[in-house]
Amino acid sequence: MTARAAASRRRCLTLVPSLALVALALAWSPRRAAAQGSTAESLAQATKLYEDLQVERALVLLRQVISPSSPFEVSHEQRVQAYTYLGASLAILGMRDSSIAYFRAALERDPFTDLDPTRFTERERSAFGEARRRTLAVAARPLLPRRIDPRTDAIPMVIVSTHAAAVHAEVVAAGDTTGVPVFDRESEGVRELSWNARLADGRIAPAGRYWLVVRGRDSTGLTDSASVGFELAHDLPALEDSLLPPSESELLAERWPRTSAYRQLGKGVAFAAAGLAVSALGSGKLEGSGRPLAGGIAIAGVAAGITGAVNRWRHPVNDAAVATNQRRRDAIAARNAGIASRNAARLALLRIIVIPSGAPE
Amino acid sequence: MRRQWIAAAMAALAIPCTRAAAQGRLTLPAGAVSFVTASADHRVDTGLGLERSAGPLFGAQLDLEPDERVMVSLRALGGTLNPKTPGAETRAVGELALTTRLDMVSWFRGTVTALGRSYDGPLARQHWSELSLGGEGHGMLIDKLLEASVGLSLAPVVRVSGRDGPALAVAGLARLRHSGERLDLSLGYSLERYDFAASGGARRVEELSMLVFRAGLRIGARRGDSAR
Repeated sequence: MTARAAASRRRCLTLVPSLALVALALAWSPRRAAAQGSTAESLAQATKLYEDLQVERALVLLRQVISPSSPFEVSHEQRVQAYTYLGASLAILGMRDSSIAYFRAALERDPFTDLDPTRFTERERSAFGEARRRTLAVAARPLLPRRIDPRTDAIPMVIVSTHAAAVHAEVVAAGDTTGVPVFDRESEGVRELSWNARLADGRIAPAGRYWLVVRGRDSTGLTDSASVGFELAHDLPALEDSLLPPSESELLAERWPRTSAYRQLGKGVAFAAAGLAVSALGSGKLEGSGRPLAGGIAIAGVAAGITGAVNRWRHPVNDAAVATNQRRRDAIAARNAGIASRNAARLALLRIIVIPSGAPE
Repeated sequence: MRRQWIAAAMAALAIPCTRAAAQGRLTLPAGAVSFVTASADHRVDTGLGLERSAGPLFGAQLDLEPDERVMVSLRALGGTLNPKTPGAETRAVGELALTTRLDMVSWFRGTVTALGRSYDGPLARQHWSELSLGGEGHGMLIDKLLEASVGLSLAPVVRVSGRDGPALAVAGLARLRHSGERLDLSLGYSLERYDFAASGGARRVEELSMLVFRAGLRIGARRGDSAR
């Protein structure tokens, strides 16, 4: 084999898996869609046969739907529907225990499952009721998307318990351990609740991911729990940030330094010297025995300096700095009050958007 | 001449009141009414040696502050100076001074003073009139309690009855002032020096120094905190 031929062969070998993957992908997509379509068709056909009282033929189709070897993909809802009709069909055929077993399977997968009295007979509903008595399952219905005013509206929620049990429902923020209770009492069947979108301390729930968690315990000790996730988003104008209080470096020193007292004394002495300097304006010819009045102002100046120094020693607080700092703090507090007021007005426009996320768990 | 001075003083005092009225304020401008007492020391040397007389003076002062930067003061003082040296004679002295102070910067103010003063001796009466310009540096000696100011002024116009005016007239001032909510107190020392031109081989030098204590009550609505 030449080198060129060998290289060509290597290229072919690497291309084969890629082409196979592409072909598989192309073939898989329509087959998946077709599979779901086949399940839906089978269920529709089985339902039609059931309503036409061709129960045995319906059973065959329904068993094909739930069979693990079924080539078709079966959704959660389709499986619940199949179990329900299997239970109903077997009840008609008098196979009560099997009927109850399938009804229980349906209830365990979807506790909201119920039989319409206008479409199902008393015998079927009796078996279904027994299945509910034997099965404790709780669930919460996924929330519907909506936009609410948290001051006036509430978020509607629906929970269910298959039979009488102590049911506790709470809203728990993701990453949190404590929740806001929204229901806590004996309950059976479907319950409609509402949550005012506020936390236990009364604050409006912040945006984020939440879970509606339902727990049930019946008189025999059976327990079950379920949860449904949702997200809350806040829709409101941007809020203003409040101002931080002034830092130490931004404030004036509120205590005089120790040297300040000496400075006061120095000021008094300087004034006394100035008084004596004024007397020095006089003519030397007129000096005579001196100028005693200048001594009076000099003494007063020194006395004032001493008084100021003592005052600084005894009261080293710089009142002017304290007042200035307080004015600065007050100004910031006033501005923050304005910001808080404007933010409160903006918060009044807050709307909470409920975004369902994920299937019940 | 004395009438002219009194008329000028009354006119100067009328300015702030008229200004207040023009601004719709009928109340008296802020200020103080004070009792004034001074110890005066008058010295003169006419070439024959020092003649010194001294004595207490008493009077009153009205301060008006029509504006945060302006203060107008009218002071009247009178008393008797008793001789302290041989050759000196007892004289009655009286003066009326009108001073306007204008704050230029936070630590300095300019002053204009119009003053009339008369000396009554057993032989004659002498009247002085002068206009002086000066400035005062000031600052708080004790915060919010005591202000100190030191000033210097020159009198370019000095007239003395019966003789030529002095060639040089200079005055200095050092004052402490407490301006409280109700009380307005001050203690000041001033010295005025007048050097006359030589005449007949003799050169007359004269000075008047005073230690003035003023105690007043604040009147009107106060405008600023700065003491003057």
